[in-house]
Amino acid sequence: MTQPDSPVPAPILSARGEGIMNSAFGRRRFIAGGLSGLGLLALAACGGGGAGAASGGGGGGNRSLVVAVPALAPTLDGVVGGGGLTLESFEMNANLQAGLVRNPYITGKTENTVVQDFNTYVGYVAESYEVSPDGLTYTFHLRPGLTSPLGNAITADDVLWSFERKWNTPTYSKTVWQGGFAGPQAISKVDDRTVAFTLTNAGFGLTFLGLLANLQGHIYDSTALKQHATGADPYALEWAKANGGWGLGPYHVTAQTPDQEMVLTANPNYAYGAPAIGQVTLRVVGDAGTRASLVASGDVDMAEGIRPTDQARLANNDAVVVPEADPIEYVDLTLVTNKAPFDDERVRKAMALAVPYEQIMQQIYAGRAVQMVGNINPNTRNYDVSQLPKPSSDVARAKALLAEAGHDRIAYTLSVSTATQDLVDACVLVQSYAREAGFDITIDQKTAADFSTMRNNATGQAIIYRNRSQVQTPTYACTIFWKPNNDASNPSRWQDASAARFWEVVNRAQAIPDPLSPEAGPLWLEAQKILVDSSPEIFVCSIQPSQIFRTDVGGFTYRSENAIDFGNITILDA
Amino acid sequence: MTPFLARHRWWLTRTLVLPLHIAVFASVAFFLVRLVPGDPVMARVDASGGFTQEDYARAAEQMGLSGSVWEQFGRFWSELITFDLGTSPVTGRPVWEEVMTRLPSTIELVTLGLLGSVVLALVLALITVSTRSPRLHAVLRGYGKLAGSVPDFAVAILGLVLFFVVLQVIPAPLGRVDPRMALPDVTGFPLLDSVITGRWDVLEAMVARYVLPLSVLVLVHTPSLWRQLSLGLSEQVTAAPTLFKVASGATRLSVYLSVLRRASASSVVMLGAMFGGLIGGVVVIEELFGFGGVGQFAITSVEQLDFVGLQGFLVVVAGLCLLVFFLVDLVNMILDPRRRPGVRMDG
Amino acid sequence: MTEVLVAVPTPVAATAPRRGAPAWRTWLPALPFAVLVLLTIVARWVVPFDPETVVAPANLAPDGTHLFGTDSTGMDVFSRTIAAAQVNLVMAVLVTLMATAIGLVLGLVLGMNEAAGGARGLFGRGMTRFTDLTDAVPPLIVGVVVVGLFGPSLVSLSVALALILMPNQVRLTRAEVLKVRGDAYVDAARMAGLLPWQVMIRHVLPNSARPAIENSSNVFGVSIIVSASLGFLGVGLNPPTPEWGVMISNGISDVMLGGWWTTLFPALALCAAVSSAALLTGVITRLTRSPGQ
Repeated sequence: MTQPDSPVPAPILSARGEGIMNSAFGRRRFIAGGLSGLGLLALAACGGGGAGAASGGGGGGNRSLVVAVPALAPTLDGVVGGGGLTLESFEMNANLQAGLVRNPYITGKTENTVVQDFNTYVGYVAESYEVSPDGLTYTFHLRPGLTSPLGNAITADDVLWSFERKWNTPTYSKTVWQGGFAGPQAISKVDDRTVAFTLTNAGFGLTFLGLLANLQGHIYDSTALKQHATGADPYALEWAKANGGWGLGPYHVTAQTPDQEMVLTANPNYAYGAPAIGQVTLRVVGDAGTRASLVASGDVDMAEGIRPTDQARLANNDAVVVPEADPIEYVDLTLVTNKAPFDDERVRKAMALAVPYEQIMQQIYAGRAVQMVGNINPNTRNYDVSQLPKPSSDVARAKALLAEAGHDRIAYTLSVSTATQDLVDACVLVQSYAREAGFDITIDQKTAADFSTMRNNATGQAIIYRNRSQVQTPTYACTIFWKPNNDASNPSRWQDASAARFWEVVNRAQAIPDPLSPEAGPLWLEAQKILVDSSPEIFVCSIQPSQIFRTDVGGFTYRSENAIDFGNITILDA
Repeated sequence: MTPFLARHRWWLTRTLVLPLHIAVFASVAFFLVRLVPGDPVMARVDASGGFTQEDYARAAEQMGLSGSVWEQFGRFWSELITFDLGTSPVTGRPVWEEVMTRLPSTIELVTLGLLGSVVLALVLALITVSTRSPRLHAVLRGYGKLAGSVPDFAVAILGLVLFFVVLQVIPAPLGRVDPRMALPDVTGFPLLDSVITGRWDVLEAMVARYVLPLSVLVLVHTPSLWRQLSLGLSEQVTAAPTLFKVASGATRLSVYLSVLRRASASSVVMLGAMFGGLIGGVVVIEELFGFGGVGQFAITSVEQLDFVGLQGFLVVVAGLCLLVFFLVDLVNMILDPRRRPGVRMDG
Repeated sequence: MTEVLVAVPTPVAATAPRRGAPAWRTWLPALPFAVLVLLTIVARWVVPFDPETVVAPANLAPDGTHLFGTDSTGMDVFSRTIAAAQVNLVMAVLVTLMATAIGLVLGLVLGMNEAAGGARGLFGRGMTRFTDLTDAVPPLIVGVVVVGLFGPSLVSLSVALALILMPNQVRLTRAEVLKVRGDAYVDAARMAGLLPWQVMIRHVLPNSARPAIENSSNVFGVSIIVSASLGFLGVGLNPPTPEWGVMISNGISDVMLGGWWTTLFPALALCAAVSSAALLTGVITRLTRSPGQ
């Protein structure tokens, strides 16, 4: 298997050498060498700066891109960590790092955009891979002559060392692999260009590939990291937070002003050939409305974190593209089942009927949201989502269920992070409409960190947040959020009789070697029926991509983690 | 005690205790940040796939948050006496560096804003004292009342809508310079650096982008300064020392300066307080214009529960504020000896 | 929060009515504030819609039914703007009372003790510096910590704001105490055999409380503005409680692309409230200054 979608290679100024390693932080220290040439070129192309100046720059490979973003990732650390779950950190990972495989890009709904095909995986850092007949051994053949942006050759040793490093990183979550991969000891080097991974469960194979393709599976330039290892920090975890160049993604960071700007420069040694856009400048603009208006005025090429209402306002603007896709990110109303009132399944079902789905999609998301049925990607092969009951609002039935549970009215606290204004608004809608069905909701705003503590410790009664399955396999979607035994990854702590039935079905499905097979599909469906019916989490709706861009920007990628892959962006001729 | 020491005790003691104050504050800051709700370790651990107690303990240790609060306090102090504010577990960089890369630009913005306010306040005070037109007075009073009653971010947004969206006369609020322009870095003060390096193009771009935020700062913050000043002036204009000066035939300028000297004490206090408030408070303006700044670092630290970063920020900013308050006190004690504590009138 | 916290009264001369003017002229500037208070009391009965419930589609522009339009959830902006007066005024009154009371007591104690020798002086000077220290903590952090600790309630937000605004009341009082403590009448009282605390309460306090009391209506206005800034940074009352600061900061992103009504109306209300408090300052100032002065 080789990649079908390498972006057009373009001439790029080389940026090898020690320079990148120190590229670093500090205020805008452009690295020595080829880059300063690029910087000068860009400067020459766009001096001064009056209002409304459309982003200029030369054509072809030297074209640069300006993106307005809400925030920058605090570190360049690829492992996870930090704001591992914030959009900006995901985006850093998607652009600075690369794994052995990835999902191929296929044509998306909006013209000139692409989405991921979650049913297959193609080579990325690896050129190809094969699976043994028993489905337990995955052998990867690395790309010949592949080097990191620093010029170090990438070999089987780098793959082994990368996994060793992951397993020795305190903030790294190894448990995601528990379904069938034991860690570094299960990897063997066949030769310099070949590595073999051994699984304990063939059914885990697809999810395993999914993890390899996402931030858990990135391969690092071990030569560079080892140079900066110390006795106290043998894997250069601290050094890697602030220094770039050791990832294999399409870009590396060459200059940064914290909280203001980050400059990404194309990786000339990228696995799919040097990206078309030579330089991407991320500029922080705090206000969402301002970001949107900057795209409209042509001051930036793309903007992220745009509110649906602003997207709707710009939908008729000819200069702006508001992309649509089959959305992956969703609004998750989690009912915490370890305490009253949601320890009672009937009360949970009543709440699921009291949510004003349609109003939230129309009013809060301005129509840029779609109904969500279960949490398995509807495009999954051999999975028929139409057989699942659709979420619906029904006050009478909600009241009846509450009465059946022995309640006249129920009061509870719904917690939300102040960082997500759309969800705060959604809370108000839920509160207003659920009152009629017998729920008296108190809304409780928390800071983002406080909220995540509460979510992990399951100390609240009900919480609402944006969620997504980073790996879009049915196995991942069914196993990631409902682990038993008070697991922190199970925000609802769902562990009743229904949960037991759910796991029984899921385990049967997991035992099937191919999770996308016709035998597995009905089992996933059955599991989802139990899940949706028991309602430990209410899937309110899934929401459209939050980016917008100028019409001359092509190759926008809508990915499972909602990050743009700048390596795939091209500039369209007018 | 020698006569010299006795005479200068009022400022000597004040100077000597300054480090002590900063030390006390540092200790308070250490405990204050730990009151911020939320678990910093939990916020950093990737819990999407679950984690064990062991994972948690390892992460806590890596972040320097293992052990009891007192052990952490001990570590904090042993680092602080070597002027080391620790390393942020979030960004992986020394906190001193984090704060110092952001502080100069904030100081520059605040200083320029206050300078503008002082100039405008002086002009307005001069106009109110020297003219008698009731209409002009009414207009100025109206401005004074109105400007103090609107949040600065509301004025800034209004300005952006008017001058950027509608009239299109100012550059986009996308930071200090054009996205393809690099800021020179010598001292960390952006305007100063562009002058030092002779980058007139950068200077020009920056000036264009400073006009609106600075105007907002000046417009919103002048009235309180002006009111304070004109209150002092109206008291001093008819005070005995002024009448004496006028009667003794002093020049107009010397009368004005004398009045100003006696009237400005409380305005200087206010200026100090404004500076302290704005260092952290200008963040809203900085955020709207994409300027970054040290306040943003504090907010991010709170949001991400970066205790080390937050306490470092507090120590540095409080040190700066205390220094400014100290200067304010000295200036005031020079202007008005009655304010010197611990010393009876020497004369 | 960038708003300056020591705001100071408007010069008396500027607004004082001519001597011998009828009493109503003196009280006239207090009228807007009285109206505001009245509005606060009746707010909940006069609004056309429930201010805390979704009543219409979101983001409707102002029309006959929804005079000020609807916000991002579909609540009526007019009803919320009126109802918010209650929340904001109660909060501002709480803040003003707390900040001024603490400011007077602390300022008096500090000012009187600072120049003393021995432990008392050490304590006084130490406390003065401590006030400076509290002032050196950016208000934002105080807000986040206090509200985080006690949850975003009216009381916790008021305490946070009072802590933010208190140091200047202390400083104003202390400065005045330092000025008057050496005046002849204080010495006279002391020589007449009054105890130190009697001197403090009977003679120093009445003569040094004026700046802080005059400043209290400014504290009132500034507290509303600071609460708005805190709301802008995500530290505000829980939704859907109507509060001007949060309404303004939530609506502000809409302004750039044309949704002006969610911000403008609460901003105007806030502006009117703060201005009416400033007018009240004039009245208070005149009442606190005896004609002989």
